[in-house]
Amino acid sequence: MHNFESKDLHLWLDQQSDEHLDQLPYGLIKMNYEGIIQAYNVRESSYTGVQPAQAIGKHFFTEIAPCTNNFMVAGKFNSPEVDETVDYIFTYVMKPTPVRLRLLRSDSPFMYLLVEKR
Amino acid sequence: MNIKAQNQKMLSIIYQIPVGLVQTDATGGVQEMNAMAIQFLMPHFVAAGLTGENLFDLLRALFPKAIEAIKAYPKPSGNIIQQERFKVSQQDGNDNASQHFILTINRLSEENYLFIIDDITELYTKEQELFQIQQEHAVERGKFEVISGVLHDIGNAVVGFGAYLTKVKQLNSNSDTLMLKKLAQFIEANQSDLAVGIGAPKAGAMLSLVNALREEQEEHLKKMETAITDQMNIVTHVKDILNIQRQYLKVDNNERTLVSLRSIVGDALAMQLATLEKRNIAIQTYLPDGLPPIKGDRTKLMQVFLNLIKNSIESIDQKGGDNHQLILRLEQDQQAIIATVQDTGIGIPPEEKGKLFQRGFTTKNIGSGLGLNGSQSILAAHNATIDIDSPGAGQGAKVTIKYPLPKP
Repeated sequence: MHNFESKDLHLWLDQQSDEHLDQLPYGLIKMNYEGIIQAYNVRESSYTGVQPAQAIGKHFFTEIAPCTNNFMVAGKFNSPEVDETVDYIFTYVMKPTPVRLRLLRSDSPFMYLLVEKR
Repeated sequence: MNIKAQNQKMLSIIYQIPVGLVQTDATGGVQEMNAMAIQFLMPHFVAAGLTGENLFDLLRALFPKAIEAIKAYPKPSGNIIQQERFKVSQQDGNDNASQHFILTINRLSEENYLFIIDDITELYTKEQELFQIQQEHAVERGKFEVISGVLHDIGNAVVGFGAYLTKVKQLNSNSDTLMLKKLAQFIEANQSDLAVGIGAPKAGAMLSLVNALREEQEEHLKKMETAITDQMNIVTHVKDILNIQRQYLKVDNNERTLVSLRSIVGDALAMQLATLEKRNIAIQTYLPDGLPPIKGDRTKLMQVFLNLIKNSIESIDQKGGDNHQLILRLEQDQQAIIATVQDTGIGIPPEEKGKLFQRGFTTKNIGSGLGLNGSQSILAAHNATIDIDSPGAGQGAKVTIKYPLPKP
């Protein structure tokens, strides 16, 4: 069974349909290499209040979560290979919420940001 | 839209605005924070080993003055810090990687503070660059003032020297030759009386002596006059050069005005005339009247033509020999005004043609002047092009500059 910390998780995620992604127990944002959102799962939507339909097709780092648009998160995705976990703070609108993020980019056409509340 | 939905929309807008906003409780505990605040501050929380839950902890590490101001603030509400700047240095001490913030702190109530923070690193960098440019301009202006002063003093000295030469010339014209001429006439008129007194041979010898003295004196005077005239011409030439230099100093750096290429090329030639004449280089100019003026920086264009003429002289020096020529030409076709500077100097071997406009490239033993790379940059800023053509080593070179005419 795959979980937040599984090895080569991105390869498994590549195989999952949007419906499967919605069933994951953590928040997940699937992006192309330009940062355009391809999938925004139900759990992530429940954390942030942003509806998946509002998020898909938008640029994640500038339009949906500008709080991640720094070297700690967005900057890391510029590398061709990223698999890193960082403690961070997200806000549901203005309420700060401590989260753990996993940043994934590798030999897959997509980049993934996984979000788990701490 | 009901009030709750309106509030939600307003919160979303505040969340997205490109300035960091943080509301804390009385002890710095973060209650609300927008996206930009997290974007700015989260890396610093992590770098300071903090969780991001208390802003006072972070300010104690980054900007302790803010904490002192908060502690010392006596009123239950009001502005504590208004747009104060602070710098966050990188741990490796690399100043270029420092971040610059601007911070406002308002006490909202006895229980709450509002922090407004913005990253002004880019603005700070631009300010520093602007300051640097202003400093450089000030230094340049200072240099211009010094040079202008020196030129003025030299000009005064040259004028004084010219006036003195005129006086010497006038003194010369009242010389002893006139007296000697009168003496010779007197001796000649009284030859027979003198012959009675001192004998005819001695009287004849006296007349010959006085005539010889007079001729010698006249010859000497002629040489003196020629020398003084030459010197006065040199003084006039120096004055002309000083006037040209002063005229170019008056123009502010980078000033674009309508300028006449004919006048610029003529001035550049005048400044090098003495050097060209000294080397017996024949000068041919085709600088027709009536070419349209171009918009440009007179001083910089002057530097370009001075540099090209100097290059030609140095190239002719390197080749050596006689019968050298410098040809300056201005002409116009339908698209451009074309300026050419052609010489009979050392020329350019084909293998060096490609390198001529590279920065730092020189064929001279001692690199000097603006360089072709600098000339090309100045001309590019005027939308003009520069090309060099040479039949080969030892066969002279021709520089062609084209200023496109404005499209009608």
